[in-house]
Amino acid sequence: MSPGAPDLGALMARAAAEHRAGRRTVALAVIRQTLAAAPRFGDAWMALATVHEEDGRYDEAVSALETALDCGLTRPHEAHLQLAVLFADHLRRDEDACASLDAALMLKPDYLPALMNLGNLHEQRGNREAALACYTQVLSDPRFAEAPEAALRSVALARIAVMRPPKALDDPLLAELRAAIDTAPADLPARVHLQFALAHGLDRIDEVDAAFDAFARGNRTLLRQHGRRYDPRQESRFVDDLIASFPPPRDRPYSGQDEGPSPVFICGMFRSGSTLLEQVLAGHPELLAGGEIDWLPRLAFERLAPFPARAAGLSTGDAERLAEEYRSHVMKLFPGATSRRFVTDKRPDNVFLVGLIKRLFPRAKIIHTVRHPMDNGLSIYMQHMNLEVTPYANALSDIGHHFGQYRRLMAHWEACFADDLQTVSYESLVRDPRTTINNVLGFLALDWDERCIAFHDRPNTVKTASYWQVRQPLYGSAAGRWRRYRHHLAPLESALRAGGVTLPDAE
Amino acid sequence: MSLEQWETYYRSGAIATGPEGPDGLYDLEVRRAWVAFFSTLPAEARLLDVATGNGVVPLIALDFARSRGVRWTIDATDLARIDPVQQVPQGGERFDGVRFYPGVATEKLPFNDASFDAVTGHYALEYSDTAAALTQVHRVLKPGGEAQFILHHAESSLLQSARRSLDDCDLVLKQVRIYRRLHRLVTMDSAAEATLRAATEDLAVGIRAVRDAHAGAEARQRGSGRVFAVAIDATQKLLEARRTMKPAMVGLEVDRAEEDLRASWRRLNDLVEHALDESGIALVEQQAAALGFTLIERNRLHHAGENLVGWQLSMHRP
Repeated sequence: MSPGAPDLGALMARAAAEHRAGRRTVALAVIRQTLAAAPRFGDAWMALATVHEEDGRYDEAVSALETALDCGLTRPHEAHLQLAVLFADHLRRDEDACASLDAALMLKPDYLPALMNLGNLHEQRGNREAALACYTQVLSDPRFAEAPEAALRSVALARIAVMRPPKALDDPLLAELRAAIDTAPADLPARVHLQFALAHGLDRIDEVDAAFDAFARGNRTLLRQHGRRYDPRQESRFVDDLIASFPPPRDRPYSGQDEGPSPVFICGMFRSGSTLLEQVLAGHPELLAGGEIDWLPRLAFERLAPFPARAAGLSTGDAERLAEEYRSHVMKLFPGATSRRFVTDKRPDNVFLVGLIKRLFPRAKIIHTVRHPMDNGLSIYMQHMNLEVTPYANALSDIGHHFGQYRRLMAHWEACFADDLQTVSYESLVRDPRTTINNVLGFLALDWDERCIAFHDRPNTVKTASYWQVRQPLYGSAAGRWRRYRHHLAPLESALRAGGVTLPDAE
Repeated sequence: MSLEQWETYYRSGAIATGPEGPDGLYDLEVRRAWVAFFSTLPAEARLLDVATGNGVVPLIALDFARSRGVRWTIDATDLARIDPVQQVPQGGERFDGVRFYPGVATEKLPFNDASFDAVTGHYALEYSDTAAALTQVHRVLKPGGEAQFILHHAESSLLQSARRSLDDCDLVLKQVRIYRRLHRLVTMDSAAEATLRAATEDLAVGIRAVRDAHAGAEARQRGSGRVFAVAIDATQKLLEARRTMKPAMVGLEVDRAEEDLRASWRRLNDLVEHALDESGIALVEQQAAALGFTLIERNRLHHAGENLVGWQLSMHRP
């Protein structure tokens, strides 16, 4: 280092410390200072990309990573992996994501996280055999057993078990899963994957009690991994605030026609069939399925924080400007949408944003998916959910409480926006798909299209927990599943009743 | 089980009885096992820690609760006459929010049914009549409550070290009987020269025997043979004390030093007797299942990656 030249290592260490401490703005300033001193310092570009990604500036993050790779950096395979995650999770560029993962593996063939991500991406795209090949390689290649991320091998085993479920109680796969659980006591994330895989395997062969026990263990480990995040009183207060902040509108919205495709918002409880419905609608040539777009939650909980207080006072001008920003964002994500009449934005937690949505898009159509509360609650409990997104998901009583609050909120939105809100029942969709789909299309003033019914072989990417269910023809076995588990579901049933939820056929 | 040796130990103010970090509490994986357990509790929770000793588990719970900005009600029992508030440095401040119940057996908990969201115990449950203790734990837990215990494992590093130390105590206290030799010498007030010389020679033989044993232990494993080191050190200091103290008083100090080592011996003996092997922990699991606990899960708990330090046992009251 020449005298007077900045110590780049020290600057990067400081940026990392500021970032760890949650001071992203300071971290960003230090990174920029580093880049001003050393514009070709690849590691600093990569650090910049991380901050951009956290701030939701995905294009800038990609650009920073590409510059990092161009400049050269200490761990280029990690930059390729980070690029792949950006492409796959935020920018709908799955081909580019695959190419980035291939590049990472080319540079470092034993880079386990890249191979696992490739397997996951294949799963999301419905490439079952390719996904299985990735996971099998993870388990069979001895290099991975020595990798620093060797714990991911348990996840590979779990994924194989979910994709190739056991056929009988003496299936060696079940013993293999149990042995893997026993050998991973301290690795909570790996343990959760294995416990849920075991539970699903037992559910598939109708070992109800053993399956429930395994789901309960998986959820307990999940809770230990994340810590308890659900506070029923806070949830109730949030719903109170939403109802107070977005009272029924006094005027009907104007009825003009916007330029470009109109957004359609699909919402409901997690596991209520929203992914399935979006897949159905994706078959229609006049509609583009946008999947889970994170623009609105970011707006609500970052730019409009504290939400809903600040959003309630949004001026008409601000609302129009934000609506335009949303449209630009969606058009950038889906340039092909210009020729469609609708783009769907499907997020279960749009439930909390209906008031904001209607403030930004007064004529927006909302599709609300519903499912039998007991089946819906059980399905959430049986899924390895992310407690940072669904903090109630690990406990039946919390699921029941959350369900009650969600129904209370939806009743308010229905009272406010009855004409623009259509409720679609999962059970109807399974039992009588043609009529149900036709009703939804009618709500959107779209004509019937036969392609809607053949959604399961559609070559697209599904980013939610439902990605294998939606690749099957309509999935009737999940309707009424709660009856098989009923003797384990008392905490769910009582929490639902306490929340005022009506339980059809549960008497 | 005698309690005196434990009461003596806790009066020293020591908090943890296993691998500890700079703050005197359990650290690394052991601490993480407790933190992960506490992280599952709601913002308003009531906890019970049984056989709490000097309150190491409540201290970890309090640290965690403070970091989350929540305040839990914590009760802590021990069969020994503990008083952590007085005996642990800054106890009054550190244990703010904890109520201690000395002289309380886990088999007879003085709490109402369904009082607690969580029950814990670190190196605790195995010292009780486990079936009776678990009956009480089940009774005082609320439906939906969880219990977690860390129990001594018969093959843990602590147990292996304890068995070696017991052998060493046996050599010092029973075979060489160094404190008796020392006692005889230091309490000789006006003995004849020959008697004094014989007693001195007798002690020297004893010291050599202990030193040889210490050297042998060190050769086998560096840092081991602590019992020998303590005995030799005490012997030297007590011999020096003869210059300033009357023989009778030095004799009392020798008795006290010997009793300290005997107390350690009894603690180690308790530990070895109560540590659980595979069949022992399986029996505890069966007892828990028979009481109606579900989601019973046990794992081997390691410290610093490789040192086995115990069984981690979790259970749920439906």
